[in-house]
Amino acid sequence: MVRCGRTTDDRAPRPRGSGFTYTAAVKMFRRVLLVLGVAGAIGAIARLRGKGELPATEGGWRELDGPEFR
Amino acid sequence: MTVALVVGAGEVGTRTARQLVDTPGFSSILLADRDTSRARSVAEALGPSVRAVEYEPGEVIPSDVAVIACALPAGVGHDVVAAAIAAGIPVASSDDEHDALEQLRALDQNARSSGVTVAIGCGLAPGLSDVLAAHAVSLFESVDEIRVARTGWAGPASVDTVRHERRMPVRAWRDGGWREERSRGDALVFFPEPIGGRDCRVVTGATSLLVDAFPSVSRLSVQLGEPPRRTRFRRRFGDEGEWGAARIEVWGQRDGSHGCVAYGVVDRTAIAAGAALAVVSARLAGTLGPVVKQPGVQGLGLLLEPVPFLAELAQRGVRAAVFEGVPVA
Repeated sequence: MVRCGRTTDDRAPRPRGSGFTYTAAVKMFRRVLLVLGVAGAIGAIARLRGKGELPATEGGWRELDGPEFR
Repeated sequence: MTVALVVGAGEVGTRTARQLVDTPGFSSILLADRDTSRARSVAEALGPSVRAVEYEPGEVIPSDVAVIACALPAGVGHDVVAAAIAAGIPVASSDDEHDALEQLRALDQNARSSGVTVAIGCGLAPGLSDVLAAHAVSLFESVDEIRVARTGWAGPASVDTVRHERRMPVRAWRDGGWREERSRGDALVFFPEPIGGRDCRVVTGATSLLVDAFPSVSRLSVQLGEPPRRTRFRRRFGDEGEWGAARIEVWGQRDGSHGCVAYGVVDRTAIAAGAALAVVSARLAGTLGPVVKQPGVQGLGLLLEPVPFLAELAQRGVRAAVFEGVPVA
């Protein structure tokens, strides 16, 4: 029997089903990497955007003394 | 002369004893801790007027004691307060955890019938913050909201309390009634420098003490900042403890317009809490001005006149500040 230009007999012995499993695992691994990369990029953007200017306040703190204690 | 019993020789108890040593009118300070060697070493460090004693919560109070300052981890102080009420001795407690405060408030009828004044929540917040809130409320014709926020913790037990409070479901005082609320997560609160902006979360905490003191205010809330994770793994705190801060915002009508007064305090949390607990104890014993005698279990917002208390704390280096400008609503 000829498959992919080779006979089944001249293939090197491989674990049962390893070709299919290997391809699927690599695909899955790549997808996971892609998802993690996209999530990381979104997280980084969100983190940078979240560190914008502090809410505007005008003024400052003055120690209570004198009139406030009478 | 007056004898005070300080129960708990932790971060707050040690500072309380130190402050009481500097308070005129006390002949001797008794210091008790389950770790008797720690109590002894602290007593030796504080001088001859401080004496370590063996006392366990729930035991009969020594006969010559005139006032008790209780600085124990959450919930442990209940037995001390119950024994103080039974002995007819005024007591101040620094407990700030919600369930522990409710257990203490449940002793109110006992305290009233025994004619004993019990001051609870005597620390930075609750405590000093409640007095500052009372001071701010007096500046308004009508008040519709009080927000109290605190960041900082006095020691490992305090860190545990903060973590516990932040995990628990929130009961908030809204429109004059209690309401269960889902946590809305952290929000940025601005404290005086050098603390600045910190993430804080609404907790139930000592809201009930605010409700007791300001029942006519429709919205009351307490927020707590998150302790950094590193504190969990540190065996003990530095000698000066952790920096902490409180912010008190009061919103209402004055001079015909709606406005806000924001007060803040920054100090080492244990020092501020210890000073507040010591001053309250001294007021209960009558060694700082007239005796404060108001039988029942109460927070400081209900118990103390703000101005003398704030002035006394300012003399001891715990100073409040007012925000002048346009606060973030």
